[in-house]
Amino acid sequence: MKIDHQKIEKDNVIEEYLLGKLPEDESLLFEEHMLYCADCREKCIKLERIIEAGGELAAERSELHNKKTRTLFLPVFLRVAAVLLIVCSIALLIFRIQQNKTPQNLYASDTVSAGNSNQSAETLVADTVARGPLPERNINPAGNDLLAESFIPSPVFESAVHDLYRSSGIENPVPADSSVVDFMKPVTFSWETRGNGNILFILRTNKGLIVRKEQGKPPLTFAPEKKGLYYWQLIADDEVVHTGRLLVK
Amino acid sequence: MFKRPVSFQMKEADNFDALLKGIRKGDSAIRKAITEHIGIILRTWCKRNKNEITWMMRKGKIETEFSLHTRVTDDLYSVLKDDKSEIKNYKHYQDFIIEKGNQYLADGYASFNKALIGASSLPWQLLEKTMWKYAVKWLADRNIFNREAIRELHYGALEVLFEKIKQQSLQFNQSSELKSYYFKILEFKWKEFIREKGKSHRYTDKIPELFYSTDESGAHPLTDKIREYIKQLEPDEQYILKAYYFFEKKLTEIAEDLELSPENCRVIKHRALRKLYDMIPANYSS
Repeated sequence: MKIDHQKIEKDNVIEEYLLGKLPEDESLLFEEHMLYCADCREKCIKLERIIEAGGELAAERSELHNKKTRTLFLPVFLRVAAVLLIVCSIALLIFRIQQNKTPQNLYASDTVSAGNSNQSAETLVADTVARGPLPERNINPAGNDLLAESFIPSPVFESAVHDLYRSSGIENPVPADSSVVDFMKPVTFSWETRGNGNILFILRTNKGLIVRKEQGKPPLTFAPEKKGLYYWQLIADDEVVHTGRLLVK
Repeated sequence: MFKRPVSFQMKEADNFDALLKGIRKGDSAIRKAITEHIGIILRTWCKRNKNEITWMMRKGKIETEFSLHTRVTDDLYSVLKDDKSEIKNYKHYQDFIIEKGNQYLADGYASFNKALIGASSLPWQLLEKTMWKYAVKWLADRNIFNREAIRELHYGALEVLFEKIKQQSLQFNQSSELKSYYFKILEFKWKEFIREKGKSHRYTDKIPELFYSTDESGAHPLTDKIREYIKQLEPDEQYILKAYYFFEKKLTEIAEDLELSPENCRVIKHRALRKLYDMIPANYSS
């Protein structure tokens, strides 16, 4: 029998020798080979010390011998399924949050771009009633709002509607409160004033968004481009003097 | 890959005659090669014959396994230097090593046994350290991995061994006999532990102080370095090396533990060894 480097490498002779697994005749041959081969001797010494050091470490921490427990002990396909489930759940959650936004919230989000990011919808509408119009903003006729949402009364404007004529000077506002008009049909807004003060006319959606804003004398005629509940306001000297309600079907 | 300097390469000694010639010329590279070679042979031979405790006294000083090969090398050298030496081939060379090694081990062991009976702390510390590794392995095979439990069983067995040796002046002809005796006691302790599992055993309170090693490692300096290198490896690599070389698990079993294929496991083991080979400095001392 002959021993050469090819055999030593292929049959893992050094390891087998050190672990006492090499047959005796091969052990003797390998030992003789080592006497003349510095490389094999070096590898043998290194591996011998590695085995010894590994043994000492293992003995030091015997508990490491326990079967390795992974933090997530799942087969690959279950791990993939778990990731997909998490992604779907997050997507569903985002969708539900979008759906569950209240009209007030939508209003609030609309007005964020107008510069009042920290105010609630209620405060903003009340502000509008008290101080006058919000910055003008055109409503998108195609609108992404749900139709039903467009008919939800605004509590703030509703209270203003019941305060009709709270300021003197405006008489016979037309259309009358809670008038119902047809979609895309022109509506004529008119009123009478005792004085010659400038009156600002504002037509708002139920969410407070300005649809039309006119400074002029009555009558004013518009055709609302979207179905819904509208509020119209007349403002004199920065004070809301009349708030009317209009239903467009 | 590590390459020896040309002056240390033994190209000239590719047969026994060339080796003898080098020795007689006083070639230091050849002397180093022989010292390394005898070290490997003797250590493997001791392990194969389960002579885990190598103990020698020379000029009143204790020597451990690391000096066994240098002592045999000295003897061999003085014989080989003589032109009329009877060592003519590798077979003679090998017989000489084993014969001398055997003789030194037997002498050393006799003095070790004597020191054990005399309750000297050093041999007991050596015994504690050597047997600890075997106890860990033996108990791991019986599914006991808890370090505290292993400590209790190991020191419990040592305590009994200590009393027996001291009272009966037990003599063992070689360390493998002493080892067998220790394992008989350990087995008894283990059975007792299994039977009374749940009850608290506190053997450690009664262990004589001389069992505790003062020297933390006591291992070869290169082994100490490699322990640090192993700690730098990936967890899977460390696990494979320990499980394969120390606990003698099969690669297929390790692969199951790590949820890997046996082939992957083999590759990781190979990679870990390659890393370690590269980490060991070129001027290591065997």
